[in-house]
Amino acid sequence: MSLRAILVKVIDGWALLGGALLLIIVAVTAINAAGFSANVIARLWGGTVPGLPGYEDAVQMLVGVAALAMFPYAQLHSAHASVDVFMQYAPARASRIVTVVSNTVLAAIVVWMAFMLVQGTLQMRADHVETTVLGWPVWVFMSSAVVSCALWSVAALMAIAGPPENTDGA
Amino acid sequence: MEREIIGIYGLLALFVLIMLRIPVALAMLVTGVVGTWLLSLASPFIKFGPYLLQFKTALWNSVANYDLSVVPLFVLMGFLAAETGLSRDLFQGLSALTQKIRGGVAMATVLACAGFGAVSGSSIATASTMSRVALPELRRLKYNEGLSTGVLAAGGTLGILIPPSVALVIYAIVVEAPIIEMFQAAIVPGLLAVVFFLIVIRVRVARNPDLAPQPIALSPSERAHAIRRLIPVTLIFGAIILGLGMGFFTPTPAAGVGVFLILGYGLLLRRTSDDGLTFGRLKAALLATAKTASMIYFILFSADILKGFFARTGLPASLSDWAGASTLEPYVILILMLVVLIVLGCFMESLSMILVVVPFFWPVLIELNGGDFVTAETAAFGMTTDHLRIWFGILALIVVELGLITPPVGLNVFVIKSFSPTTSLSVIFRGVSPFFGIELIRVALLLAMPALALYLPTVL
Repeated sequence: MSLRAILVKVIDGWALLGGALLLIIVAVTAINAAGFSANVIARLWGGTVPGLPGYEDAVQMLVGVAALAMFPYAQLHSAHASVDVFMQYAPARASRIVTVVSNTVLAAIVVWMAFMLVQGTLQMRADHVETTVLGWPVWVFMSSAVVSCALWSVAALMAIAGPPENTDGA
Repeated sequence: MEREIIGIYGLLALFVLIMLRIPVALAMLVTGVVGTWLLSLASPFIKFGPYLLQFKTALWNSVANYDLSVVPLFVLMGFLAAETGLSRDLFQGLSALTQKIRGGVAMATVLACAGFGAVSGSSIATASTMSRVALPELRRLKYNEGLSTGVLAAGGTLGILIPPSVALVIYAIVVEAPIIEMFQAAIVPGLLAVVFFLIVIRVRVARNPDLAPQPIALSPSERAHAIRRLIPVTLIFGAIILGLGMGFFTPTPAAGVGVFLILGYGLLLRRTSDDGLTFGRLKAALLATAKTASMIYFILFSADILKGFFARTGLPASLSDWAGASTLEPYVILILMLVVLIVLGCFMESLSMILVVVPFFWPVLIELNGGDFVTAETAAFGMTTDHLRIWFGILALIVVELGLITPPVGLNVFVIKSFSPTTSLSVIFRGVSPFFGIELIRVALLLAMPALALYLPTVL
């Protein structure tokens, strides 16, 4: 298996991990909503059924990890919105130059953002920053953003060669 | 160099980069960062080094946000609805209900676009999904190409306004409006669009019956089957829309419960038929969600950086000062703003347009209306700032939709063209033009009667 194929698999897998986290959010939300519904009924008899404590904390952390995990996949498949109204009439060479320049610039920016995120994560850890209700350490979740950014920059460079052949139906 | 001049150059650079097909989010990010660096050279009060420190946490903070968690969930809900066949069930059920009307399948397409648009929240996703589902059927029944493609292009635009819409959520966050009230305000204008589109189809078919063939009667068993499949879809979509509209749910739980219900229904359907949810379809929906949700999040992050740059240039404040001193009628300026949005909407993705343009327009509107704390009696538009926020949002989103079907570059038209390569663009544009016309009437109605948008948020 070539390096490119391995990286494509890793980026696909990382995006699917993000998707799996979204499904966990869905499950947690359904349980929380069921709790609230049960509470409405229980109140008729003077009882209470609590919702999940710290639900918003959990969603906030999980969605942060999930969303950034999806960035490399979107980059690899050139899914970021762009306007093709004028460049479709440009010579193929000009179009190619734009693709190479924009992906290279993005890769450089994302590497720099990953570097900044490493500092931010270390600072969060040093400051013992935790979520409000659950008390989860934020740096644990934030560190996944560094991995996502690293893969994102790799994806930007890979996208110069075009999207992978196997698009998994998406 | 004056800060405002740098701001104007920044705005020009942004549009040049976007026109060069640089991804919109990247163009926003580069303009925001480079623009701030230039400002720091021109102004001793802006320090570039400390500015860069925000990037230690900015990206993480923009995605780890509870309010925005609704974005990937709504997107996932739309893709799951398409993958599990709910969009097809919706269309076939509605077709069965409208089978006796000439032009009924075109009407069913509009209704299905409205229903699917409500859960997908995206106009382009609605246009492409419903094209896959409805176009083969419209072709089989020998509907006129212009009518078929026009209905799909116009029907696709319903996705952006009918709640729950991602664009509504984003607009509400940009102008700090309550999301639920935005949803409530969008209900009547959204339904009005559906009714108007149905009227257009009815009138066109009545004037030229060749556009739609004589209806073919389904057998009672086929009809019953189609309607039976419509029930779960209606219950799921109805629960989400009504729950949000009536304020039972906040957006994130609504989206989460919506995905849960669709997953459950998809698995149930799989046990009883070949349709429904398979692992492959779930994977496809998750990966499609990865593309769309990332696109939205990247735009949101970059828009925040860009907004910071423009705020430092003082450009939005200067524009609002100009508006305050202007002798032009407030309604004239409002209509000019809407025209700008239509023109930009022709070739810019709607979300990025809202994020770039609204921060400029919004302070101007407040100034025109009479300031932040104006009362409805003394306000130029006859409403408080809170109501203006909602009313302008609905108007802006409608005209953004209009841009999607405006010749020569309406994005929805190109989406439909990709599904119907043999149909010429001119045929699609001709087909969509009556819908464009009636949309202008809807905008005029909303301008003349803001209560169409503001009544429900006031009483619910």
